[in-house]
Amino acid sequence: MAEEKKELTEDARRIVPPVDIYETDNDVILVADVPGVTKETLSLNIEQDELTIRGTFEKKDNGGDKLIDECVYGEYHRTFTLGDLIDQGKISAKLENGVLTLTLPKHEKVKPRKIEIETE
Amino acid sequence: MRLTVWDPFREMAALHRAVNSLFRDSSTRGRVSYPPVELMDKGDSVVITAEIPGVNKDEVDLTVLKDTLTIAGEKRLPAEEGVTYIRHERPHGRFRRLIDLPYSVDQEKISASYKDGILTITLPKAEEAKPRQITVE
Repeated sequence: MAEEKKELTEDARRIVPPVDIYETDNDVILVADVPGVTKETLSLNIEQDELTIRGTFEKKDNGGDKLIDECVYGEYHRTFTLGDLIDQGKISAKLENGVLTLTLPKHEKVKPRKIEIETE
Repeated sequence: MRLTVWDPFREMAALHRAVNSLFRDSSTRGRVSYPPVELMDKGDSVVITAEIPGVNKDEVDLTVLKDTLTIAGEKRLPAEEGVTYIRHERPHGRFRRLIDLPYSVDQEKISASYKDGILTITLPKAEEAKPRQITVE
């Protein structure tokens, strides 16, 4: 068992993608840098209140001598806890230029509301 | 039996490294220069890949002058006005990186492509820099 575990960690390096999270009136937006990840290698999961982002940046090594080596290949993995204010059924995602953008809409009841004052 | 001498300075050095890595992770994320690159010598050409997720293709400026490649551009914030940032970890702003090329390249034949946030630049070597097989008779 222990051996298996060891192999798993050696197989793919785990990369924690940096994120920006910001809030608008209606949504919480999560932006993550996942260079090298395609739609096919990306997976998003919500289990209970945990949102997990996984993606693979595969090394396309077709020979040659590596003279500068700063890119990290492996598996992107990061989990976030969603608060009560997020409407989990309405989450949408977009992947563009190696950036994952998640739109997490707020429940209707927590959105700021403007109250019109009626005058007679 | 092996005798080991306790060296307090060695532990001090380890502590020093640990403290340093703590600071490196929090602010600059251990990255001295942006973007991170990979440079491969493929025999007939040099292939450079750079990770620039979220950068618009039209906002990348590539120049080769003698044996130096410059990658410049701007990585913008996803939203600037009217929003409240809860977390801000992604690097942003203007960047410029100079890379010394290990060989002379054929400037006319340089090509570049951008996909999934990865910029790939292929620089064919100049004729005189290409490896040559010498047959011994």
